[in-house]
Amino acid sequence: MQELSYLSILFTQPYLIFLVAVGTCAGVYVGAIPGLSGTMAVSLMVSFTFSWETNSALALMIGVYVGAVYGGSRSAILLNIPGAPAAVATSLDGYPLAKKGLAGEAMGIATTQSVIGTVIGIIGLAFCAPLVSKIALNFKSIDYLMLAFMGLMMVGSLGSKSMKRGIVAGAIGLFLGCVGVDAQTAVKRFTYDIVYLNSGVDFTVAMIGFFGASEALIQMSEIDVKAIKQKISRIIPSWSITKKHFPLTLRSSILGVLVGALPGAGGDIAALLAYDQAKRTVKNPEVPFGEGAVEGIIAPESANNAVIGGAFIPMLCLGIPGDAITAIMISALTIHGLRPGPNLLSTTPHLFWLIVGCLIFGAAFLLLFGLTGIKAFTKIVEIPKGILMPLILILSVIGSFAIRNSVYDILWMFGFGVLGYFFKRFEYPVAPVVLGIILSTLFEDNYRRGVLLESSISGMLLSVFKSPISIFLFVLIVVLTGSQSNWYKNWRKRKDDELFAKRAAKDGQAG
Amino acid sequence: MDADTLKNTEAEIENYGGAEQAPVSLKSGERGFSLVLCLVGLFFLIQSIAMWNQVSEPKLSSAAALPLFCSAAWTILALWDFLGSLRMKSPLSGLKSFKETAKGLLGYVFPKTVVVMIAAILVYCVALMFHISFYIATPIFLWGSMSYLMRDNYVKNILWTAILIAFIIVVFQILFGVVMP
Repeated sequence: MQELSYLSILFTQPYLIFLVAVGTCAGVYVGAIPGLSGTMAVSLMVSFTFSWETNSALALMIGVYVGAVYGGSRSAILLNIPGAPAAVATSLDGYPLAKKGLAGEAMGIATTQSVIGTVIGIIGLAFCAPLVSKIALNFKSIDYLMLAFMGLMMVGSLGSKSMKRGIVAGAIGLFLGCVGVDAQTAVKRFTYDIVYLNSGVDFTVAMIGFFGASEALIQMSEIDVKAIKQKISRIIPSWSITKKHFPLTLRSSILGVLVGALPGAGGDIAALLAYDQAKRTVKNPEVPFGEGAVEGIIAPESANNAVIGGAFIPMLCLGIPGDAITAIMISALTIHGLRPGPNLLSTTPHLFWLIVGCLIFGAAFLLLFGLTGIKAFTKIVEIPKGILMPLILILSVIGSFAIRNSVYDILWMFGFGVLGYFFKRFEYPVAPVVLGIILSTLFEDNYRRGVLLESSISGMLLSVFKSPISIFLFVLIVVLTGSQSNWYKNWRKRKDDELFAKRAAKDGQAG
Repeated sequence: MDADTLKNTEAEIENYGGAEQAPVSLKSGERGFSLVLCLVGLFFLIQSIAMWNQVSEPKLSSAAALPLFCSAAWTILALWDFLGSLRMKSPLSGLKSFKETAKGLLGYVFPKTVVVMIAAILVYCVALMFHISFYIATPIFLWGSMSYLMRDNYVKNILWTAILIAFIIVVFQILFGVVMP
């Protein structure tokens, strides 16, 4: 009952609902415009809303998050250019459907599936977070260290060309997080007598540079790429398809929640995994995958939105982000004087339920904005990059300045932007760098605590085997790392080939 | 999200789904970037070792420990990546003359548009540092960059600039209460 009273806070402050609506609407368009992403928008929001009250800032950012994850599907279906990485899988069957003149149906399916996915994610969050929070109270420093490590590994290895590059990027992020005067020993680290660096690298400035300015530069290098447009007058939600494929929706959404709950793995990974599992499990699709199969939209769209609820679980319960956007939200909460972790739910339960409430309203507004405003959408998506990208650069400048009213922050932001440009140009992931900067304090504090408690590094490492939680986390790391190895991938390929050969033989006999 | 990414999506899904990785080729300058990263990592590793030697016991929990571990991981893995890249081919591999290689490399790493825009942003930042008003520097930057990127519509871009400046003032300055540079 207490939970319901916390949830009802939203109704006593209708402007929060309004902010969720504004955020969701903006998020849908930000996500839909190729070149703009939810991560970029939320990172800019952090700097623009830092003087706001926490609840209002969170309501707006959650709205943007929910809208942006869905928004990517619109341009994926209509233009064959996913507006966000989480919509990459959607374009594979969404665009072929649009080419057949079924863009309205495809967008209707994407909308309903995204809403269902979001709701399942919220249910997962509401039920699992309190449990995880209770377990997290028993976490030791080695457990936090392993979780932070896992987050860096996952975000680095799953989204990049190779695991090595992900770890390099994560190590660079952790190293950048060490710059400045050490809070515990007052030793100056890599400041080179530059006064600005004494307080360390500001993660918001780095975030805006890596996600905002660098993306604008990358988009400018491809300024002449033009999309093929599809005409559409209205979006048609398909309830019969929703009903028919509900088991697939449920499977994909649960997969999305689980992937989201893993530190570091986000909507893009969930969507690709869900698409893959749909390909494996749906035996006789009406249209083959890749040629306009509705299952090819249902699976990724429900999974990528279910990630939202899942990603909040480690963020709120452990202080470790589930994906790039929740990493930014950790920094937003930190700016507002809150410290996400196991105590957050017991000390500020209203905040947790406010987030749940905002997500519920976000899902409702997603349905509303997802099914309407198609004319405005086609106009906004067609705004040339030549106009959008200078605007993004200006917003990055304003955002980085807004944190401390320092012009030097603008220069640093721009420096990180250029570095991020090189990273993206040469296929190094940028998310682990930002995650590394954000996690560096948690990483270092727990490392030091662990070493001091066990008196040595070997003692700290051996303490992994002293508690069931640590053993579980250790096994999880080994399994996740193993699943990204070439050995495992080759083994799976062999297995799949055998399975397909058996199926083909069976079909041949039946024929 | 660019068109290349989309082209690679099918392969990416196969990859996530457990299929064997396709043979990888390098982008122009990718090997050089790995080497630069390795050298920068090495520089910080040397600095971290010097810091480690300066701090007093207990060294393991000192301020030098994490930077040392991070820079060591950074250097070793960047070196590993660089050595691995020596076996791969890049679009520049077949080029014989230095001039052609440099042209190919700069063409990929620094397309003209990006160089011009980086220069424009730098000039804009310097203008702000020299206390030139945000409301003067920003419209000039916006109009200039739009006109360059669109290569046309100089008059129309004045209208776009006015709309965007109005949007920035209304949304960020008035609604969000953000202090402008």
